[in-house]
Amino acid sequence: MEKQPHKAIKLIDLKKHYGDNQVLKGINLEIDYGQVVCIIGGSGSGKSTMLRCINFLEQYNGGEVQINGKLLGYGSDAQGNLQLAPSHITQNDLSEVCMVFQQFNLWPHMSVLENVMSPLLRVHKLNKQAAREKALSVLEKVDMAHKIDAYPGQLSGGQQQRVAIARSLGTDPKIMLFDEPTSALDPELVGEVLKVMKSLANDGMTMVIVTHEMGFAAQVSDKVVFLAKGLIEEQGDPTTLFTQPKSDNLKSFLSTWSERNSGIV
Amino acid sequence: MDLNLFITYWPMLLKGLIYTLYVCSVGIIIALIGGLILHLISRLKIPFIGLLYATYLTIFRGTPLLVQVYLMYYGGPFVGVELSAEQVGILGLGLYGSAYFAEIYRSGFASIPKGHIEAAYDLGYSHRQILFSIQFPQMLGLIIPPGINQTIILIKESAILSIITVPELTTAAVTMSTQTFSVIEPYLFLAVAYWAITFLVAKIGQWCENRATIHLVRS
Amino acid sequence: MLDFSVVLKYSDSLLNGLWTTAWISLLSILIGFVLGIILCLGRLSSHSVIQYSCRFYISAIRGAPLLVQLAIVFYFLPYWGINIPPIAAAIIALSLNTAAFQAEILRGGFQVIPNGQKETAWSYGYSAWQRFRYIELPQVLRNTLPSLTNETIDIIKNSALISTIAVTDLMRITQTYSSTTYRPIEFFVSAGLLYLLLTSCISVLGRHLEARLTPH
Repeated sequence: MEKQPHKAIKLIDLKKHYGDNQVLKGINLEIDYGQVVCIIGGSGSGKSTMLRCINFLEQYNGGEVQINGKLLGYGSDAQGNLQLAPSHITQNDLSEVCMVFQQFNLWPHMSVLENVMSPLLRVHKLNKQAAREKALSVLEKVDMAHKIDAYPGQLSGGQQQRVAIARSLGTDPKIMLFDEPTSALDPELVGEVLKVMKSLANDGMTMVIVTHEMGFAAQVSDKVVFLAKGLIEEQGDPTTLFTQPKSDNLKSFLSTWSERNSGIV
Repeated sequence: MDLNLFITYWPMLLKGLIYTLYVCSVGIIIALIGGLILHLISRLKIPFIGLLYATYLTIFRGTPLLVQVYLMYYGGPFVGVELSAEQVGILGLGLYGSAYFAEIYRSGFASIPKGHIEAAYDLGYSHRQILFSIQFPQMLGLIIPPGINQTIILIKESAILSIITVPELTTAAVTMSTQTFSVIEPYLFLAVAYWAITFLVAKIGQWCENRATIHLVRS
Repeated sequence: MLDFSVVLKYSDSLLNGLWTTAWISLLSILIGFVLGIILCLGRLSSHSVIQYSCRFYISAIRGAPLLVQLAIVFYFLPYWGINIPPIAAAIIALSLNTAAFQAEILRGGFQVIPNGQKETAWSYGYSAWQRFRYIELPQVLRNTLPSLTNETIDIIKNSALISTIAVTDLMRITQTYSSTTYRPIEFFVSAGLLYLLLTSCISVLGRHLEARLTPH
């Protein structure tokens, strides 16, 4: 991979609160291009909020989010004070970032092909022919090319999520964010989505994944980040983190997880 | 705006208002009962009953109330049914409204979870017991919002009755307008008065709905 | 005895009246739809003055009988020195009335679209207008079509009231002939059937459109 001058994502003392509820209390994190980073943590740890701040679906209240070295969502006015940047500028800064949602969020009134083509036609201004070719190639990649005329309501959750991933891929993202992409799926459908994500990781995509799939995190990630109560409690390569957890929080988190997954036979 | 007009005319307007409330109350009660009877009849297992029910609904919901009222008022005497304007008004609202309420009852019954009825069968309830002690109380809670909505529509439609000279609120205001050659005062009064009535009915509806939900939660 | 042959003699006039009823109602529905979208967006706006004016308008219109609104348009405009033909007054009153009802129908349609869909559109770089045009509006139209069909039927039925301000619609023509021929039953039954024909056409058309717009 070519050397990039900037970090893909850099979080500096990132803070977010809703009223009195401090959700992120100062997150510092650097993610390189080509890295796959899994974010784990209990519910309420702030992991989804952190991801949503990186895509500016939430306005953060303190610190910085930098995408490719550029401050996201805010800009300086004439007096040098920080101001909320206009929406289209923020969207432009995020043009190489794409989010895959827990609830898929396919647009229900469009067919599979239309869902993938729509951003290409409306935002990226491709012509119809080019958009169609592009859409077909990314649908091929997620193994959904046989369902191009189906509507989201006719697909299983796993298929919908694969189409959602294809829709993201169509826009040629450099960074992909996944917000619990398999949490809304029936257990038997998780595998097909993880398989697609694994192949993306192998292709060198920069990925930030909020997930509960520890096995998957251990296999694909370069770095695992454990969040607790709005702070990064521990981070490191997956082998060390999963086999030699240092903090008590992580130890109890991992033991709860393995108890639940070993199941009662 | 000449508010002095109201000093002279308020007794007449008040009488009209009371008349509107009276005609609507009786008409809507007929519609509520008629709608329920219609719905229950539609559930009988008699040949063609579904077709008859659909025809009634199509006719009364597919044509203007004004046509129905005219037909009764002017056409009635030709077939030996001579009704006063007031009787036509009440009956008109009742027949028209029952076509709408019947459907409200139907969807109310339809939204009761099947499991509740199956559970009652399991426990040995009879058909009648299920209707009166399981379905009815639940259905009443469910039909409050659409029922109130329909009630408001009927109250507003009752203004039509002024055209066949029922001495209700609109008639009173129109009389005031023609006697005083003023238009703004009587018609603005009408708009405000109807708005106030419908606002009140909506509030009462909300109150009923809250009560009904509390009762459902408790039980 | 009933004698419907008398109606046949005047069938041309009745059909003319039906045509007047149809085009006035449908034109009003279309104008009301455009106004309704604007009102609905105003009602959903975060700007409080805009939001509350739209709320007030919607509440005021929905709370009063159409007959009264019709009279207000018909009598107030000349009072202020604006003279317009009865047909124009009828179209204005019907449009202003249905706009408020359609605004509420559309608002319901906008509110049921899950927030996640809007977020997705934003994160793909859709502008606010593109999101409205390509993501929200098509779904709102599809989801509210049954209610909009009902509203169209209501307006056709309510348009019978414009006979009171001397528009020669189906109702007005029926009234005239029923009193000159002393055949009210025949004429009002026929008028009822013609209204029924029109409203049934609309409901069939609505269902047809619904089936076409619902892909699954």
